[in-house]
Amino acid sequence: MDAITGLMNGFSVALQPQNLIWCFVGTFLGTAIGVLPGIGPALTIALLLPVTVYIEPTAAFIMFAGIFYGAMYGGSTTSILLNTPGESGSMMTALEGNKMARKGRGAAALCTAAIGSFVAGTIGTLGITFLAPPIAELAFIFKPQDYFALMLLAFLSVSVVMGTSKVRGFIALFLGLSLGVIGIDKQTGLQRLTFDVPDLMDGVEMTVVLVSLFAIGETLYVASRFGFQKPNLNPLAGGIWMTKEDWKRSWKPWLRGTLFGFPIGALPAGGAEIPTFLSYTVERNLTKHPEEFGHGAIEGVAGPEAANNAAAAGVLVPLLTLGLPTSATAAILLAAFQNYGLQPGPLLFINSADLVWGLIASLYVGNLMLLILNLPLAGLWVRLLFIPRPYLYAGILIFSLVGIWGVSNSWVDLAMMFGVGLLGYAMRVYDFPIAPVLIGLILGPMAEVQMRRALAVGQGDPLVFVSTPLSAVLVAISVLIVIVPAMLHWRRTRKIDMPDEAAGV
Amino acid sequence: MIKAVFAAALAFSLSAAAPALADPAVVMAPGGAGGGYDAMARLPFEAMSKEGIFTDGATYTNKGGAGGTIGLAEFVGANRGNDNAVMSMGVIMVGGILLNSSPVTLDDVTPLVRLTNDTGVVAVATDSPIKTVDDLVKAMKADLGAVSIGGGSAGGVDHIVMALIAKESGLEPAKLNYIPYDSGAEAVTALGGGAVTVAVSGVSEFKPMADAGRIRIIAVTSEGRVDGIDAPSLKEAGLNVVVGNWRGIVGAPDMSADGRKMWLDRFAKMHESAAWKDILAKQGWEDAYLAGDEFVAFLNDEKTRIGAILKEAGLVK
Amino acid sequence: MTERPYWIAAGTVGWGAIVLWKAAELPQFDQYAHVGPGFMPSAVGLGLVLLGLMLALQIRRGVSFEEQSAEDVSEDHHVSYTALGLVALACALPMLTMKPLGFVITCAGCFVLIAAAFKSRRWYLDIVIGLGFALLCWWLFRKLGVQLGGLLPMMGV
Repeated sequence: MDAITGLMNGFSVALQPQNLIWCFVGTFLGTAIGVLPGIGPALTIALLLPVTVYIEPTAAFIMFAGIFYGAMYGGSTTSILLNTPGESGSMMTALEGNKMARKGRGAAALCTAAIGSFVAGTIGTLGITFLAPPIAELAFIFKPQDYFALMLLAFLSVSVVMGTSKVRGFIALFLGLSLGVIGIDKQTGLQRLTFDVPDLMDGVEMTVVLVSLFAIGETLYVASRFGFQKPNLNPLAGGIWMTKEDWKRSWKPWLRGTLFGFPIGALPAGGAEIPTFLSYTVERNLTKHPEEFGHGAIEGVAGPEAANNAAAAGVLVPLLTLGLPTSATAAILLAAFQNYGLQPGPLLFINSADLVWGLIASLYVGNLMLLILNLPLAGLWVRLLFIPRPYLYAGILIFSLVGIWGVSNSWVDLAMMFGVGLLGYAMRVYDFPIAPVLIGLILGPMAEVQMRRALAVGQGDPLVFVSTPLSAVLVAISVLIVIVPAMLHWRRTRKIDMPDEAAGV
Repeated sequence: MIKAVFAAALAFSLSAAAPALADPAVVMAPGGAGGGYDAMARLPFEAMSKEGIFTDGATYTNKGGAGGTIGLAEFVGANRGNDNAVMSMGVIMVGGILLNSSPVTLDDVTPLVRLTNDTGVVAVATDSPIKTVDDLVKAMKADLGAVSIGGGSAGGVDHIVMALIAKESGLEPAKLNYIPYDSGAEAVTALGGGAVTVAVSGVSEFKPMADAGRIRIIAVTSEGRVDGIDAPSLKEAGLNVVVGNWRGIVGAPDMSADGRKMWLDRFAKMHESAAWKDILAKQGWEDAYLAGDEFVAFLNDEKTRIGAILKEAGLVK
Repeated sequence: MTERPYWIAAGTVGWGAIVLWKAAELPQFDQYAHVGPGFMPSAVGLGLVLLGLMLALQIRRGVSFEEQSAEDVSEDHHVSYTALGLVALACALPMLTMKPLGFVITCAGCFVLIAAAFKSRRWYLDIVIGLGFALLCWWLFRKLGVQLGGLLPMMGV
C-alpha cells in the first residue's frame, strides 16, 4: 500500500513540533482572515506567498494548508452571525444560518458548520489520499456540454431561494444575469455593456457585488430601522452547543454535501459555488422540516458548509496529481510550488514525496486543529453580537472597504459598492430575494461560456447538449425537476377548479 | 476572481526589500501579482539589486485588466517625463491595445528592452489521427469548422499562431473555429479529453502533459526546434509562422535621452549578470535580450504584423 | 401596505431596455456556435423587460411588499430617513475621498457617519475610535501587502 506508507511518512513530517506550530499559525491566520468580509482563502494565501522566501517548503505548505482550510471555516462565521458572507462559497450558508442566529441559535449554526467542515474536510482529504488519480480523470471526461448540463442543474437551485414571489425572484435572477454579461466577451473579444468604462472590461467583480448586496445593504437597512432597543434576543438563548436533534438532522447533509463538493471541486471549471447551490437545493427537498426552511433550518447550514469545504479539498486533487490549478487558490498554491522550483504533477509524488505526503498529512492535522479551535470559539464568536451596533456595523463597512478598494484600487468599484448597496437596501424593503442575483452573476457567465463552447465544437447542432451520457442524464434530471412539480401543481389546481391568483404572486 | 486576487497580492518585497532608500524606481506591472507581467516587473529589479547594479529599490504597482491596457493608461497618465518610471509589457499588450481600441498606445512610451520569450506549441490529443502539421493543414482544408481549436484569449498569441497558420495555408483566418479558454489547465484538459481537436499554448504549460503522454505536440512556434520536444518548428514544417510570447520593459513617456541611456546600461549589465541567468533558469524563460533601437524596430514590426493578422482574423476593424 | 411602487417596475423595464439596446449593437450569431455574443444579453434584456411589465401588472392588482426581517429591526418598521441618509453618505464617501484623502481618513469618516446613524452621540469618541481602527487596519493590511494606498496621498505620504 503506497498511499498508506506515504501517509505514515507524511504524519511523521507533519507531527514534528515546528511543523505543528506552522500548522497552528496557518489555521489561526486562516480563520481570522476568513472571518473578514471580502477576504477569502485565495487572497490570504496570496498575501502570505512572499514568506516562502524565508521558510522551508514543507513548513510553508503545511502553513498554507492550514490557511486554506482555516479560511473556509472562518468564512461561515460572518455569514451566519451578520448575514454578510465574504465569499461566494458561504453565501448559501447565510440563508439559513443567519435566520438561526436571529433565533438565538447562532452557536448551534456555527457548530454544525464547523463539524460539517471537519467531516467534509476529512473525507475530502481521505479522497485526496486514496482516490486522487481517478478523481483527477474527471477533468478529462467532462466536456463543455457536461459542464453546461451541470450548471443547468445548479440553476434550478434558484427555485428554492425565490422567496414569496416568483416574479420578484426572477427579476433578481435576471438582474444578476445582466451584471454577468458586462465585460469583454471571452469568445469574441467584443465589449458587452461596458459603456466604454475600462474598469468594466474584465467584468463586474463578484466579490464587490456580494459584499455590497449583503453587507452594505444590510447596514443601510438595519440602520434605517434601528429601534435603539437592545438586541431583542439573547444571541445565546439557544445554548452554545448542538442539541441531539441538531446532530440527527445534520449528519446526512454533511455527507451529502461532501459528495457534491469533492468531485465538483476537482473539476477545472467546477468551483465551490455549484456544489453549495446543489446541496442547499437537495437538503431543502429532502428535509422532514420543510416549514423551517427560510426560517433557520439547520440542514441548510450543514449541507452547503460541508459542500464548500469538500470542494476546497477537491481543488487540491488536480493540482497535486496533474499540476493543474483549477481555482484562484490553487493557482496561488501553484505559484508557491514554483517559487521553490517544484512542478506539481505526477512527478511531484516521486521527487518530493516527503513534501506532498507531509502536506496531505497536515491537512488531516489542520482539520482536527480547526475543529478544536473552532468549537470553543463558536460561543465566543457569537459574542461578536454583543459589540455595540454603531461599532459593529462601522467595522463591517471598513472591512468591506479593505476587500473592495484593496483588491482593485478602482474608483468604479467604489461607485459600484454604493449603487449595489442601495439596490440591496431596496431589495430588502420591497422583499426581493438576494441570493438569485448572485446565482445569476456566478452561473450565468459560466453557463454561457460552456454553452457556446459546446455549440462551437458541435458546429451549432443543439443535439450536442445531450450527446454524452452524462449530459443527457443531467439534462433529463433538470427537465424532470422543472416539469413534474409544475404538472402536479396544474393537476391540483384543475381539480380544485379555482383560479389560483395568489399562487403566482 | 483570479485577477482580483493576484492584483491584491502586492508582494512582500515592497516592505522587505526597500528600507527607505533614495528615489526608488516607480515600476508598473500591468497585470496581477503572480502573473507574467508581474514577474517581468519585479525579477529584473531583484537581479539588479542583488548584483549592485541598481540598489535604490522600487515601488511596484499592480494594475491588471483588459490585456494590460488599463495599467498602460495609468502608467502613461501618471509618469510623463519621469526618468525613474518603467513598466513591464509584452506581445499580449501589443494585441490588447488593438483589440480594446485603447486610447493610449505603445507610441506613448519609451521602449527599452525585450528580455524573455516563451515559445508556443501546437498540440493534439494522443489518439488523434492528426500526427503532423501537414495532417492538420489537410484537415483544416477539408472542413475548417470541424477542426475546433482551443487556446488562450481571443486575439491573444495562441489565436495569432492559428490565424497565421490558416493564412499561410491559404485559408481565411476569420473562419477558424477558435474556442478561447481561461487557463492553460482548462485548455489542456479539453484537448486531452477530446473536447477540442487541436490546442495552442506555451511550452511550459503543455510540456508536462505531453511528457505524461496525455497530448502530443506536433509543432513549436520558434524559428528552430526546442530542446526536449520532439517536434519540428512550424517553419521547418513549411509554414512561415514564427510567433513568440515575448516580454520586456518600457520607460515613461517622454523619458529623457539620458534617462533612457541610464536604463539601457543597467539592463545591459543585468543581462550579463549571474543573478539574471539564475532567474531565467528558475522561471524557465528563454533569454530574448534585444535592446534600444533594435527593440524599437522589432516592436514596430510586431505592431504592423499583429495589426494585420488581427484584422484578417476579423477581430479588429 | 397600500404603496404602489411603480418605479421598481419602471426601473426593471428601463434597465432591461438598456441591456437590449446595448445587445443590439452586438452580433447575435456566430459562424460555428450560431449563438453569438449578443444572444445572452438580448435574452436577458428581453426577460427583464417582460418581468418588469409583469411586476407592474402585479402592482396594479395591489400586491403587497412585506419588508424582510433583519436582526435588531424594530417591530413597527419605523423608518428613520436620517439614519438611512447617514449610512448612504458613509457608503458614498469613499467615492469622493478615497483617492485624495486616502484610506485612513476615509474610513474614519465612514466610521463616524455609521456610528451616528446608529444613534451614537459620543461623536468625538467615535472619531478617535474610527481613526484608530482605520489606522490599525491600514497598517496591518498594508503589512500583509494589500494595496490600500498612502496614508495621506495629498501630502505624498
